[in-house]
Amino acid sequence: MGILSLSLFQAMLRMSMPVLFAALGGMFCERAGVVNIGLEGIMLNSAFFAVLATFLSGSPWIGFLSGVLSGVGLGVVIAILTVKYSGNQIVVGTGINVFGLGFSAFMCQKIWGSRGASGSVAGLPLLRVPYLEQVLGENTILIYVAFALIILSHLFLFHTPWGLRLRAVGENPQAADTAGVNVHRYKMVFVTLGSGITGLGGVFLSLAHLSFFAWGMTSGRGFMGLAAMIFGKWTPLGCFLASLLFGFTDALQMRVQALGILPSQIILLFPYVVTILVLSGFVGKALPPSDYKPYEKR
Amino acid sequence: MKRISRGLTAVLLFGLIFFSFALAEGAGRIGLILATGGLGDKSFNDISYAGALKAKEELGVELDYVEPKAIAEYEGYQRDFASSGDYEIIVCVGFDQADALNKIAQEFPNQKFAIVDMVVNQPNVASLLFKANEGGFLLGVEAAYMTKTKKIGIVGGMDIPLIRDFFIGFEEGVKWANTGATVLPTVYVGGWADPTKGKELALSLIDQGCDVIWAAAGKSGLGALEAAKERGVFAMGVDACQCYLGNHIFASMTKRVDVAVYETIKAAFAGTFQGGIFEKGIAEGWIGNCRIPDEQPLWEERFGFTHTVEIPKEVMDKVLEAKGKVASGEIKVPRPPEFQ
Repeated sequence: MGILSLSLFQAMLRMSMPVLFAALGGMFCERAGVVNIGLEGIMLNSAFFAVLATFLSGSPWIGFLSGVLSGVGLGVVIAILTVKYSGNQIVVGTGINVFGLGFSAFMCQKIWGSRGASGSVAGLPLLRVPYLEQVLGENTILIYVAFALIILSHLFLFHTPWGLRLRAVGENPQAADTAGVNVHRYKMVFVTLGSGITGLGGVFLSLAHLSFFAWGMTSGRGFMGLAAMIFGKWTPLGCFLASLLFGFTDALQMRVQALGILPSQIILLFPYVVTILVLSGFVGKALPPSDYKPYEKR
Repeated sequence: MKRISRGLTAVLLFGLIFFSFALAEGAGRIGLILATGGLGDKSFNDISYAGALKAKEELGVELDYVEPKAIAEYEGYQRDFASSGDYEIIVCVGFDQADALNKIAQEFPNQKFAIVDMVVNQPNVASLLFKANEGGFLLGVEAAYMTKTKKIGIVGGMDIPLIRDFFIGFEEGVKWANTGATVLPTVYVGGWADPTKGKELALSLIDQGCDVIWAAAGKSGLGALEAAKERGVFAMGVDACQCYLGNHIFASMTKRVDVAVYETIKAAFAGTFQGGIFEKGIAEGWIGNCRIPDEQPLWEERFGFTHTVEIPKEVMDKVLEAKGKVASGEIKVPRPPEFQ
């Protein structure tokens, strides 16, 4: 039995959730032809607003909503800058990351008097689901939202005309435009939507898994999400499996440490080694769904 | 008339200049440069401030403090304070001020400095260090008695000598208490600002049967404390009294930064200040535990709460016995090889 147990499985699920949300969000942006490296900043910002709104209103559901809305808000900013004004996507994304770090620290200091961490707030309630709960562990609604999102976005992308148009907008905007698709509108909408989904990852961190905000609590999970998205070849199911793999190596790493058989430095490398192996082409060629150039109507 | 007014102006001006010089020369002030967390962190910054405040009141001098927002600002504040010449001593809080201070201390060789929790090898800097291993030892004794499953789990921020120092002492304390309790191998988060991972690590320890969790992992440790709360097991705090965070946290090892800062400032004003490394522990009152009777009210008053978990008298007797023996040198608490 040992470390391979149900608790490992449940930890894997929990650890993969934030990465999954970021990967799905990033996927929508990239499908629309915009590289969104601001996932980390969006997630951190949403984590902060989720706690702030819960703190002010007393209701975690309002926090949940604010977290998602703040993701949407940053998404609108990214969309306007990169789609409407053809701004450099890497520069905008980096700007969002820096903004997320600075803004949350500044506000945290103003509101809780400490830049490090917020006070504790009421987290999202656990959702009681008979039978399923025994396998998946005690979870909030977010884990079920994640499952629903994977299925819905898969159906949307590959089985609806809008999904087809979205893919066309990313792959060949000119062709899509000729066919009468409003390229700019598609880009705007899906960059915003993707950022909102990424925001769910932040809400998961600060309201579902924990019940407070800590500065820098995303700890690179937005970038892990980008990696999972590429590893998952820009498909919802691929993103899911890739996130699970990252979650699994992380959860396994934690349990191996407690065995005390290997130096912890080596064990802590696990997730990163897996990421590098995966991204360096062990899984075949990863062809991006777009060339990510801003589209200008001619 | 004109001449008189001119003379008066001259006298006034002279007086003003003289007066301002007298102010600068005479009024020795205390300068305090806090770590980036700022006041309100209920940890090093707040406690250092309390120590400086006590010195200010006792000595009747002025205290100026700044709250830098970023590591890059330390050097500017240090230079501002040092170049003004107004300060008898400048206290810098936090290990990340060391690089800046190493430079500034050389620029102003006549200015006295102190740095908390880090070493700066300059003749005019007093480096204030705390024997974390001794604090870990006392906490280990408490943990050994409080665990029912006889399994204790510890979560570290990073696998570095500074953190191993806490845990080596802790494990020794558990062994010394001899209640049959064991400590599982330390698990490390690999970062100081990842409470998510801190919580998962603690959950994995609890799943393996631990019912007392101790974390020395900065903000990542907050996640571990929350895991313990969620599963209804005990937890312990570090650096300052963290018991205000929840009723399940029954004790914390404390670095008495307030005592260290206070003593150093006093020495500076008394003219007995010396640069160098000062590493002190239980014997000197620089390391403690928030449940020790004469320390407990101090924390409760400072953070406005009361401890709710009862520590049985025989456990506290054992802790006090350990404290006495460590202070007298009868028990030598081991340290990582890097610190010997």
